[in-house]
Amino acid sequence: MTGPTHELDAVLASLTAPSATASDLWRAALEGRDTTHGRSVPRDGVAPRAKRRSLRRSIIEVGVVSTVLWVFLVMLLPSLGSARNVSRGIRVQESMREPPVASAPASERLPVAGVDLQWVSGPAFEAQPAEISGEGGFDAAATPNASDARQIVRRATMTLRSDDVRSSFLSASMLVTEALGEFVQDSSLRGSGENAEAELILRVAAGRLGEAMNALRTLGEVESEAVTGTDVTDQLFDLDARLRNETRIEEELLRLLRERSDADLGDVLTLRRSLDGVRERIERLAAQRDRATREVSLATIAVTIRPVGRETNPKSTPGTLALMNEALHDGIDTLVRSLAWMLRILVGGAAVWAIAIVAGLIAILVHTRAKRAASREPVPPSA
Amino acid sequence: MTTTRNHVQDEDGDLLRRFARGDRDALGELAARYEAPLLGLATGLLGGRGDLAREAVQDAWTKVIRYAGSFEGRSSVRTWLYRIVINRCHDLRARREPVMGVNGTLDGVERSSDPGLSPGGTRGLDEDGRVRDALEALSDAQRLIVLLCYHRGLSHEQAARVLDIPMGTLKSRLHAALVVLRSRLGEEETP
Repeated sequence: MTGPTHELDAVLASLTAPSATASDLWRAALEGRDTTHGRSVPRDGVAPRAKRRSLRRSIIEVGVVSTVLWVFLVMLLPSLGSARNVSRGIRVQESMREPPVASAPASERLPVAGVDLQWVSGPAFEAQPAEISGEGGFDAAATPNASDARQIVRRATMTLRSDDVRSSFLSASMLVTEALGEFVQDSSLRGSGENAEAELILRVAAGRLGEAMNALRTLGEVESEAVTGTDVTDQLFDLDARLRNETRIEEELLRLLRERSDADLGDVLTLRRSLDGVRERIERLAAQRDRATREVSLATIAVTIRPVGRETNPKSTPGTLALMNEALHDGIDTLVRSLAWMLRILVGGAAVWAIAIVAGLIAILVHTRAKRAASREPVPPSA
Repeated sequence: MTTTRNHVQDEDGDLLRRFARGDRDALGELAARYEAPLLGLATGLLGGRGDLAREAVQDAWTKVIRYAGSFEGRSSVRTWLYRIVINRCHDLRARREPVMGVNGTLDGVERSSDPGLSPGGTRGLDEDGRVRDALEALSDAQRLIVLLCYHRGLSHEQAARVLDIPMGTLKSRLHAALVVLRSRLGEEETP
């Protein structure tokens, strides 16, 4: 420390040096209080103010915390929900059974019904027009009208055990009667001997589903079977009604065209365009109705044939190594899915995160200040 | 060290509580500990005005007497007392500012020649006056931080607590204030 600096320090220290003389100012203050007030010391004034300040801070804190919670609830949770929905979208589709036709408005039902019907039938239920021997092959009674019974799309699955997979496969293929419009939609035979496995998708007349199932049961030992049905009566009624309506419009337009043969060319062209639109809709509706009708008239049977003695799933009794391997793959898969999910939440909710972080920082700041202020003894106010 | 400090704080708190319950001697004990340093600090803050410093400290005691019952012990009694005195000094300075000269010189009122309030006595009066004038040219915050840090009644840690700022902030502000102060003193020396 240099000389002048040391000197400055000494002077600075001397400027606030404790007084050496006794002053008894406290006694003067005490006596002054006694003489001026003549009563006990009022002890309110600071505490209520401090309480008010504390209350104000608490209100601010509650407000900030509420805002943060609100941001999370209103903005973040929906994005989480949508992310969850995206991840389980396929499962939702698979688990749905009743298509929401009745709730959709008539104007929007056309494309929805088409999608629903495709979905109801599923990939395995897709009709193959090229393999169908014309519309005449369908049961005319299946066409819906107001007096018909419920229209059900039926699907059955059956797993069989057979000593001779190939023979059973051929027998199952022979079950369809083409004269009734029935056909084999898909078939495959893989392997041989104990490793052979056959799969067929049969489309049989809905009325013959029971008979076909009985016939299949004779081909081997039934390991499992299931039959499901989806009611499409409302959809068919709806399609039929719309088809009739469009047909009436078409007739009306044709009548106008005939009666107003002397009309302006522009009017005639407009009428023709309207007629084209109506006919296009009629064709589309008719195609949908035919497809739905086919789905109803032809039940689907998915058959799997395996040799007797072979386990359903070779992985059902795996070794330790295989188990470990499977667990490892599952773990990696889960990790990747989790990371993808987190990335989706992180990126998708970037704005929400930014707001939440800012709100959080404000909350921390307010809390810290309030905490610091609370830890400080309030100084009496100036006179 | 910390234990001793805590012990003193506990004693101060006990004295204040005793006074709040009606024991006047307790205030006397408290005053015996703090009145002299508080008066010293007030003198420094008020530009060497001993009369104002006494007024400030007496007012501070009045407040202590009035609010002793509402003391909640959130900070130490020492910190509380210093804050009261500093606030009172600010009030007095603000009220008396018009009668103070540009450089803190007092119009019509002499600086304290009380040896008790000016330990340097007459020997260091000139030097004291120079430094005091340089101090008066500082901002209120800078002046307060310099005087508080050089005040013998408080450690830097206690000064930081009185000002309610972190130690790092106190040191940086003190350094900045001293730089300004030294430069002003240097300017004065230069003819």
